[in-house]
Amino acid sequence: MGRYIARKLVVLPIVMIGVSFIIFFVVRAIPGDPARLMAGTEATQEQVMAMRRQLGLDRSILFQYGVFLQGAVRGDLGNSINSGMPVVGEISRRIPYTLQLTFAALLVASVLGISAGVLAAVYKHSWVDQGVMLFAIIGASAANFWVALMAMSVFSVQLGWLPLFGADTWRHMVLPTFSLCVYPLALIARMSRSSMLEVVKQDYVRTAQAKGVSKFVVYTKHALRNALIPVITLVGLHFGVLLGGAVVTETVFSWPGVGRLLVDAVRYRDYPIIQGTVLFTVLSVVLVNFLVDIVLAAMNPRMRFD
Amino acid sequence: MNLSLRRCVVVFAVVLALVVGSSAAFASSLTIMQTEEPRSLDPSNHSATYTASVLHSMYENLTALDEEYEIVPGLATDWEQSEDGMKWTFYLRSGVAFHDGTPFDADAVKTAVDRMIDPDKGLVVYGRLGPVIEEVEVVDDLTVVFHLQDPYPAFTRLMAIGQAAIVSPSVIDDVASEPVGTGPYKFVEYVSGERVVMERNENYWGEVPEVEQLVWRWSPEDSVLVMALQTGEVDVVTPLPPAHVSVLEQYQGVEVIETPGARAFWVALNTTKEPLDDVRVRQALNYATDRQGLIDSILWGSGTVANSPVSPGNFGYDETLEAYPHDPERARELLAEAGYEDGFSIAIAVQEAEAQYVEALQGMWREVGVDVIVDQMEGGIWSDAVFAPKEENEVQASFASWSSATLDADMMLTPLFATDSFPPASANLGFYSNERVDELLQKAAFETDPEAREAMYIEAQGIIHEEAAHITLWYGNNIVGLQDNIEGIWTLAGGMLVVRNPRIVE
Repeated sequence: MGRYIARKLVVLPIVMIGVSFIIFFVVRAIPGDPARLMAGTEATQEQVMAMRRQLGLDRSILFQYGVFLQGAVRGDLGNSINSGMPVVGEISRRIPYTLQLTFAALLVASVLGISAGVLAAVYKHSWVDQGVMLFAIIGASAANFWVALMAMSVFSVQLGWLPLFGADTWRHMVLPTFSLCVYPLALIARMSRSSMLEVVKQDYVRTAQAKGVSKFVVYTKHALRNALIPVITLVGLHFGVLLGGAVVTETVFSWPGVGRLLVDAVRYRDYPIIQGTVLFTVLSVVLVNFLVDIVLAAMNPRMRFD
Repeated sequence: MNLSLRRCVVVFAVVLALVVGSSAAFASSLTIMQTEEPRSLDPSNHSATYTASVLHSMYENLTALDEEYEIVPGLATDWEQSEDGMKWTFYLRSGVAFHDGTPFDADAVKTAVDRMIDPDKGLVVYGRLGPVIEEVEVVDDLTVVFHLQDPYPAFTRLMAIGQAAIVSPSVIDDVASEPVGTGPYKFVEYVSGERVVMERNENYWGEVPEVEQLVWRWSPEDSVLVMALQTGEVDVVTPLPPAHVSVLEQYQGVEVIETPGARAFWVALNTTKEPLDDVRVRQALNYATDRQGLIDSILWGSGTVANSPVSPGNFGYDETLEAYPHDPERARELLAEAGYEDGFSIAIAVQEAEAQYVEALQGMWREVGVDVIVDQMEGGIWSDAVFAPKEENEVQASFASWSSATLDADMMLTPLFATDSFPPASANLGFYSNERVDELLQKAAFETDPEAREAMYIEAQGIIHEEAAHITLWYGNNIVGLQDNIEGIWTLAGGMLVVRNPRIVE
């Protein structure tokens, strides 16, 4: 285990440097000139050139990458081309919001999803099962965007219970969390159900039942532990996805997360912000995968590494 | 004793709550929601209309535009130009201070303008002022003289554009993070991704605004703008999409203000490539276009048929020019004359958000045998494609819109139709070139007699219109939705919201 962790920690900086190299060149390879986009259609060529000089975009890409790396090792990812503000400050202000929403949505999705999935498995083919699976199909196929707008229209505009947008109090979190958790909730419920049905067919479960252990204990104690392994992998994967920013949800609810920042940055070709955001996302995904591995190892001795 | 003490505490708490509650109700605040986040807090380093709206509450210029788009005094009370038009003297308002107490004087103006015209700073405003201003000279505390490189008759209009706002010399290099101006509202905070907050400037030289606080928010989602107005979480929204106007007009407590705007929407035709190099083909496409139909269907009626490449509200606009009528018959005749009786196909480069307009043209032009390919592109890619230099430019036609910040024909015609403005230098996207037009535009730019100048622009407009360099489509409306107890908010022709002295009436 210790060796496994050490190996991961050694690889991490190499991954980050590799990713920074790729993203640095890729953003500059996409058509679109940040200076022209900033100066607008009305800009003259002379003006665009002056801006490119000022931003250092007239230097060779390798030179620019050198400057970037030099700053990056000191924790300075440059300044936003548009606002002129430091990238690190900008991103670190957004991260807590993304984390908040991601945790809340995945917590709700996991608790409800696993409970619903287990219930559906226990009462297989009953109306509970059918109800859960119907929701799972709708939840997995409903567009996130549509769910968000419907929720706003009902709970904010019609009923007036919750604020429409913003991120000031816990009440502002309810609708974004709801609309963000629908999809993972549906997936988790389905996965929990099928995984549970798979596990209860195993011999050790039959043995436990034969011993006369109550159905409740068999399911929650013996079966659930093994049934959760694929579910945890799924939650971990989703975590990575959401950390990159739940772009649609953040946009609709004016939630100041990382995803929204990235989308705007791509639109204006704000290279430093794109680089910073992507690096942060990669780092998060790597770390979360790492955590998932450890959790799985803790849960299942067969998956331990040494 | 114990009981009465507890009672005292309760009473005190209730009183406190009432006091706090009522004072909170007293603090008047206005929330304004636009479609995009401000791109910068530096007025000289962006080109976005809705960023300009936010900054216009904090910053001021030497001159200003009023509700009729006329030039009025701003930080300068008076001005004059020299006989040869090369020198403009501005007399500054006395007793004005920046928000941080720095006095506003001739030195402050020089510091601010020197920054704008410094090519090494690479600011967006440089493109506007750099080629015009030679030098700023301080005569005395309240007098500055601008020495120009060439006469620029519309100079007072140029000094009124948002990018030429005067920022405080105390923050000259940090204005993007510490905005300090002289306007009726001063900066409190910018929470990126969330809001910009301002409070009123108690020491404002003009009328101190009634509303104490302004909060600017944004959402790129049209329906959120509408819902935010309905729930009352927001007091003002702009730009309100035309499709929602009729719904909101029926909503109680909400009002919609729609004013004609100065933004012209058009398709530039590449005059150097077959078949668009033939003027008859370009005219035919103009005749094949049902402008009113476009406005009624796609814009829900929120627009005006464009009759000229210059939009109304600009100095030099020719209102007598007649828009090309919708006449498919005439279009077919012209195409036949040009040898295209069987039609042809043409690709129009358009940004994603505007693709629906080109799709509408597709339907109209099919009637005359012209097959439109909607070449939909992401904004940055579109900009690279249409601004490619002539030899590399593959674009046949491009959809775009234009408005002049100075509300002067020069900035509508020169960048779009002068030979010197071929991409990438400027936005003559169709590589239109006409010697007489070039001559007129050059002469008019230096002509100090307004009447003679206007006549030149009118002649140039006529030629461009006749030669159908563009298919000028419509002038868009500016639409603002607001709670019906809000007054004193208006839009400038380009769509910029002016929130300088709003009032909340009971």
